[in-house]
Amino acid sequence: MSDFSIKELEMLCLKAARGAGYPWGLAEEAGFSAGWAAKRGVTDLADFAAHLQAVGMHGHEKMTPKQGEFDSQHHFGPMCPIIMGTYLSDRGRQIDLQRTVVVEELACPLYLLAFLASVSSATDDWIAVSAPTFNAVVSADGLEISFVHGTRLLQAPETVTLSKAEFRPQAVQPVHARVSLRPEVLEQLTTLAARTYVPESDELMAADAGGANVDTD
Amino acid sequence: MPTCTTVPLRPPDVVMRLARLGSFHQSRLSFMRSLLRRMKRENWAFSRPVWRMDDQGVGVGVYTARGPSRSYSLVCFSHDLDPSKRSDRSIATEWDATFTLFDGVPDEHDLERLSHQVPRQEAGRVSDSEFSISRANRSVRLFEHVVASLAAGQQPDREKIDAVGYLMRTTAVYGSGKFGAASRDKLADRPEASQPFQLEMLSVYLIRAFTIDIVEHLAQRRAKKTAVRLDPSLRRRFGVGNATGLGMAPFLVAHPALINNWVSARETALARVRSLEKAGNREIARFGQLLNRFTRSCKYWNTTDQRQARRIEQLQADLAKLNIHIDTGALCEDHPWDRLYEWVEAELGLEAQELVVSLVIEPYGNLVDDLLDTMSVDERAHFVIDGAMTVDALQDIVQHSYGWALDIDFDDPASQEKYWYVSQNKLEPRVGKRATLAPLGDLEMPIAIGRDIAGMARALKAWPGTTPIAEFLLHHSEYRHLVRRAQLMDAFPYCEIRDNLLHTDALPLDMLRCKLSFFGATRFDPKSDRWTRITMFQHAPYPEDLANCEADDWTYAQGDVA
Repeated sequence: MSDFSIKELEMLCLKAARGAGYPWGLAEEAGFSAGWAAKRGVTDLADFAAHLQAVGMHGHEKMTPKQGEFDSQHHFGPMCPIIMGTYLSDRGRQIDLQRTVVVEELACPLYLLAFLASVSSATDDWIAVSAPTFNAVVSADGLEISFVHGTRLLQAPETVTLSKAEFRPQAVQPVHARVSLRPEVLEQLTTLAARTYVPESDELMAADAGGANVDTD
Repeated sequence: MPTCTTVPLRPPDVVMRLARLGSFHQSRLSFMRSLLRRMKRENWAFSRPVWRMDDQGVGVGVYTARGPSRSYSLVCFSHDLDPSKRSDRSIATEWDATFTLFDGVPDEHDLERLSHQVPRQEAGRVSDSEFSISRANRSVRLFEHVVASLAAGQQPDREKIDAVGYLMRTTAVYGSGKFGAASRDKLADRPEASQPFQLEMLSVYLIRAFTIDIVEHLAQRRAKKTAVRLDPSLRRRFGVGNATGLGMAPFLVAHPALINNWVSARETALARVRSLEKAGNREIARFGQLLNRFTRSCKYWNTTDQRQARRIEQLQADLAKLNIHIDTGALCEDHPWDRLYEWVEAELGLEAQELVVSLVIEPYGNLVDDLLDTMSVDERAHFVIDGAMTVDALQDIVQHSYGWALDIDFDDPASQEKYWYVSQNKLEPRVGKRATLAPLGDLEMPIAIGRDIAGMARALKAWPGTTPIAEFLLHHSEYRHLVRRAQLMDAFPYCEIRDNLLHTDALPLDMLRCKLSFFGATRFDPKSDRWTRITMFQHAPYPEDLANCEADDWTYAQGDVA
């Protein structure tokens, strides 16, 4: 197990998301979302890595909702939680949670939670999230979550319902300063991140930063 | 003193140009200087609780700095490096010394753990108890000369010391959240770390003490009977060298709000001083003293870089003109600093202009030092995009703040020749030629702000002006990071370098110098257009001297002035 600060973890997830093919801005959001969920102890990031693998194979474009339409008729397959989350976060105060919002076939819905915290910050509402495998209440700075099976499982796409919560989060998840990653998850993320690197030829290395091979200073 | 300004801040279109940023000098708002002022003000205490070095200078040392609330310790591992492995490049895997800054005072268990990780640097993992890792190499030009001289009972040659300026040169100082180290979140409630890069600067400050101790140790072990310690008059002439390359350059692009706050503080300081109606005799005298010191010390600013050598030559000529101008009573009229700045901007080159910016704020600590508390930023607080902003409003921002980019012909190959990428070998930013690198895939770093903003501006034209940006981004997620930047403009007008960083003539060196000037670096000695050597803390008091001397009167003292 490798031990990471949240900042280092976010940077790794950002690079992995970019390596999976997200544009830079979405990759930044993916890193933020992964860090937010991981430091609250609700994920070991195995499903995040698996999601990125899927994005890398199919492309994020196919996981994008059409304007304002979140049902399965309006996208081609599982919807991306990062794209869905940024859309909700971008709309902020424009989201009417008095009317229940149903998002069908959402991949890895736990990664929506960070963005709902942003929405909560903008609207001053607490947001109830209901999915087949978990229920949660999100505020700007807190998360209460319970898993239907007592523990979280690698998630298949689920239909998620969002609504205004009556109460603020009660049993708030503690926020950790460090997160450990299992070797196989770390390997998956670093492999994806490595797709953003350029293998340097001798010619490139000769032109890069730095001085002579022998230090004469 | 009043902090209102009647003189406006210099506009971002003037300040945020590469050539000007690349002419910045250290100032009293630089982080090394604010660190020393704080430690002096708070009466920090220093000790060296561990020093276990053998005859070859191999071993471990610990330097502890005790502040009012907590302590920090620099853990130093000193090695016996085969000279053939002393590479000047960042691809090196071994160094003469490796360091980490520990949170508190390490026990033997901590030292044992760190001894297996810190010498490996990027290949090792430190923990939540560490804030930085760094390494340094001995100066081939000076280190052995100093050891041999001291061992022989003699003092080293002063001219040789001044020609180099340091015994060891760091090749990297990695800060928060890297390679397992604690992230800045841990520092949130620590006043001593509230200003930027304070713990990284503390690391370097303590490394400087180590460099003196290790040469004296080696001299003493080499010749117990004859060895002498460094003469106090020479000690301060040693700073810490640093070799900085491209890894630092994209930092300025990746942290727009932070860079805004650095530059904004400097510009606000300048505007406050320019707004003063009169200059007191004491302030005029202090300005004259520092100008005089810099003028004399400029001859010790050595470089083998032809471009920088020409700039120094021009600076020396400008300093001569400036001194004549001051001697004619330029500071005796009303609004003296404003008049002086206007004259300097009209008559002198960029190096001199930016030097004068640093010099005029020097006498006014009570007017400008509070700005240091504005130089940090919570970047997360500005991360969320306002998706309700309309396409029209975003276009207005682009027209107003990115006009410089819209005027560039990006079809001209020279406008896009540079290609920034991350090296697989070192996981560090590098820059190469687009013609070579673009065929390898979409591997370009998000440095092409001007080009991509121009692309976004074209895409925006296809959308009705009242469309919320949230809708635009659903279809154009490739511009998401640019919308985030553009939305910072209102609150952070200095957040963007207003030049095409891809152009064949763009100098990465200018970005390095900008950042290093805020650190407080001196003696910029470029070795190419993409890396430079510098000196840090040269002439500063040592930890053991800090309690009994002025903490902030060292940066314009060089050579025979010290």
